[in-house]
Amino acid sequence: MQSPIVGHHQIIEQLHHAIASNRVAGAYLFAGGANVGKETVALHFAKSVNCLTSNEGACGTCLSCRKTDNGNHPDVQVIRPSGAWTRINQIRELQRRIVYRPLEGVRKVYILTEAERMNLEAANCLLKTLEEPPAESVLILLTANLDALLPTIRSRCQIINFQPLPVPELAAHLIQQFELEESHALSIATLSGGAVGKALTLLQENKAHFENEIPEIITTGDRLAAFRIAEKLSQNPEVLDHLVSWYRDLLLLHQGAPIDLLTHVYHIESLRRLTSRYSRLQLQSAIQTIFETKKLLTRNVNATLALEVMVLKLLVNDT
Amino acid sequence: MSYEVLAQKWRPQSFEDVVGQTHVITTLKNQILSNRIGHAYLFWGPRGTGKTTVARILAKAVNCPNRHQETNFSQELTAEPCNQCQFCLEISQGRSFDVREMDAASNRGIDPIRELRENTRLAPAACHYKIYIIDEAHMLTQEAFNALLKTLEEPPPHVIFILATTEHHKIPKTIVSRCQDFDFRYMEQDLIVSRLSVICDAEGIHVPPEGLSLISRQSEGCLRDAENLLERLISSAGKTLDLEQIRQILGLGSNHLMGELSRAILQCNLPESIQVLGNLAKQGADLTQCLHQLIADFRALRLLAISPKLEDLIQSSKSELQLMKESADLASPERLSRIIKILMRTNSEIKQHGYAQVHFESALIDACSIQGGVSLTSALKRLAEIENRIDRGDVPNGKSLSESPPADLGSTVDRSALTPRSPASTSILGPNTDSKSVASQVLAQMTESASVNHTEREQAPVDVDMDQNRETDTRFRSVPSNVQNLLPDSDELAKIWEKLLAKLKDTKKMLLHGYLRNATLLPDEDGEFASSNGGLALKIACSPAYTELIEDAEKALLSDILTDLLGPPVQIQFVASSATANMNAKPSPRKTQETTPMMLRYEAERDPQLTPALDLFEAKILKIEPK
Repeated sequence: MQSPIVGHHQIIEQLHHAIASNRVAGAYLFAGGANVGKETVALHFAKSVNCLTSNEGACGTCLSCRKTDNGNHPDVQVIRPSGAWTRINQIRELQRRIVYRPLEGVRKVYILTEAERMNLEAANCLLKTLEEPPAESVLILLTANLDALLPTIRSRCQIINFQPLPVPELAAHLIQQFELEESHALSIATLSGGAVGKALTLLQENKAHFENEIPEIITTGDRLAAFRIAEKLSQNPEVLDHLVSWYRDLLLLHQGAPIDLLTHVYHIESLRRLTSRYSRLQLQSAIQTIFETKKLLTRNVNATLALEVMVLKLLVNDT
Repeated sequence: MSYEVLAQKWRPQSFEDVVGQTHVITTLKNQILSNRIGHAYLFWGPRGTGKTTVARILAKAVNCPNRHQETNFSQELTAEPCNQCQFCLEISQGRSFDVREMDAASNRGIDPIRELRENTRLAPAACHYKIYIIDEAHMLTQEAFNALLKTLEEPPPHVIFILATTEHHKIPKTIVSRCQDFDFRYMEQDLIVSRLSVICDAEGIHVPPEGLSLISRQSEGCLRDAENLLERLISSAGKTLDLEQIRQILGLGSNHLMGELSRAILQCNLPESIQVLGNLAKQGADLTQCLHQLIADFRALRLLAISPKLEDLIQSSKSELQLMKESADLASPERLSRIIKILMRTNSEIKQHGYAQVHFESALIDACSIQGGVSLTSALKRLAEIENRIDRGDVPNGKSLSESPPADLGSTVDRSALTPRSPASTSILGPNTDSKSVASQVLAQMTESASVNHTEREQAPVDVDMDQNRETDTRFRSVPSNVQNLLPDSDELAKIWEKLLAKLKDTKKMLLHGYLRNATLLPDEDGEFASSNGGLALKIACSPAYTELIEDAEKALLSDILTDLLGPPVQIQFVASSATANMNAKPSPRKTQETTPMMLRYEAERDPQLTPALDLFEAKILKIEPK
């Protein structure tokens, strides 16, 4: 099954260009948010490098491309963290094997996912290999957090930044490929924050059936409703991202920003009515509160309690 | 041969080629020329500044047999390796027997070091020196370091150790002290630019000078970073690059838009600035990069706003500088500082939470809401001015009120009529603001003589406690006329009492606080204890047991506190609390006391009839049974 890569045209073009002009570097670092498409692009790159028929890009039909697709190409290897960390043994194993010539392809391609989860020893161990990788090999490190990597690693790689797709573009793609309704596609696109992988997951899990309406939390002032809302939120915490986008819209409207930047253009009238209930500082601190809570939720907290506190903080005081 | 990236291809092969680090290079060259080569070196410094490179060159230089230069008449010895002899080539290609480059991060245990020690004993195969380059030395384990110590201290004469690391602090002191320490520093941007332009010329790459300085700024003084950026530019856009392309590939957002953004912020034009941000995002610019750029721009503006002479510190072209100067006139350094602070905070928030656009927008909203910007000094100046005016009595204040004789109450009425506060709001007495004022107002009118003392008291604290005085001023003004007929009823006194208790607690007079906890403050309605000096008399109704325990000094303290709270001097008298007072006019603690076993025992032990008996029988009281 061949699915085209959505977005990242510039990056793919850049990589194709490198292959065509024989300027493939030995070490790449793909940086960008989670599920934004780094691994997809990295695999595509691996296919393109080794493709038997096409000189620019991957044909997707030759033996090499199909092997890569199925994950059994001997020269393309993906190294993932074992447990919480990528350990030094995995890197040593890589170093042992990388010195050999490729078996079938043109280059050996090693893809290290979640490079920020290499532990200190593993990361340092990789340094010399990254600096002068053996000929006919490419190392591709993927990371969602560039700052968490050692500066010495960053400095040795060609860093390629992956930006999330603009929401309208992603929505358009979803509509085209999956024949979704426009509002549904938009809400999924917003919720995924422009990360294609996340959008697809949401679509598969069919979780994205959030009412595409203004969240109750914004409209109500009822403190009793808070607990109900919090419980709902605790069932799928991804909605917090969604919530941020609503508050952002309110804030932008409140400040008289141009309308075309809003996410929820369909609700502009009701949002406009709501803005009068908030002050600028309230809205800004609301956004801040949501972010803080999101951070808390990744730690070891009582999720329901944290969400309840958040909802109570967010509720408007009508008095 | 497979392709090498620029950083690899252009790795310097001789001392001459090394960019910057002159302090290291000069020393090493002199050592080589005077044949005073050390046996152990430690190279440390940030990434991409040339540690490994210099180590390799040093290895070549000490082993190269052809280190001389043809001059006009004779051959002169130099420190540079020839890069042509067999040794140089072998070392450059990493296949020399006698130069071993060890990746300490991969071989960090004690075993590789033991093996290395074994090998040091053998004489070099072909070269003059045997050289061990231990790269990423900070990753060696403690044991490995210690195993190295003795060898490092006195290696065989044919061995040179070169340790290279980015983390000097992880190298044990015992290792450091055995090595010659060379620190590699970040390179100046000019040096990076000139190196890049050399590379560009040789590779046939066309990049405008502004583009090169942009790259060097992005690289933060590390040459390898700069070369890798250049590599990335070439591999994505070919060999001819213009500035906009560079900005786009580096995710910087176009110069034009960034300029618009900072202008919009300076003009406090929020919709415009958010629109520009939206455009930047649409262009695919990296918003965190844009934020960094914006911070740098505002820093430049701030420098210019402080003094136009500081323009030397800003790296940008003449035309940009001119534009900046115009913008700098729009804002004060204080305002620019605050904007920078907001942007910096946003930067860390984005790092923490992600969602660059939402945070960036929030920052813009904050930044645009800063209008003229008042500096702290000018705010303080204004505050001092206001204080002075109050001192001079320009504003209607408590002093003028208290100076007016009580007969002239009309003036108070007038004044209160002028106050913006409505009587309704003041008649509801807040627990901690108005009760005091009402009470003092009322008390001031209650006794005519009080006003005299009031004046004296009011004048005293003026210098001492400006704040409190001013507070009182506003309260006096805010008292509406209809409160004047009120007597200080028990409610207000109760509030005052609570304050007194709180104050006792604050000053840690816990014992006194305990005594008075259940007591009440009563007005002296029947004039029983009419004060002799014209002050205000109040009664404290309190359990009689405690009245005897309270010392005179503490009583004085209480009256002082009450005086502070009320205004006029206060005299206090203790009376028995109403419950007991009804039973006994002159209450004696013995009879009114709730009898506890302890008290009974206390009484019994002092009973005049019982004590002789106890003495006589040498007895003890074991148990007391009340009738």
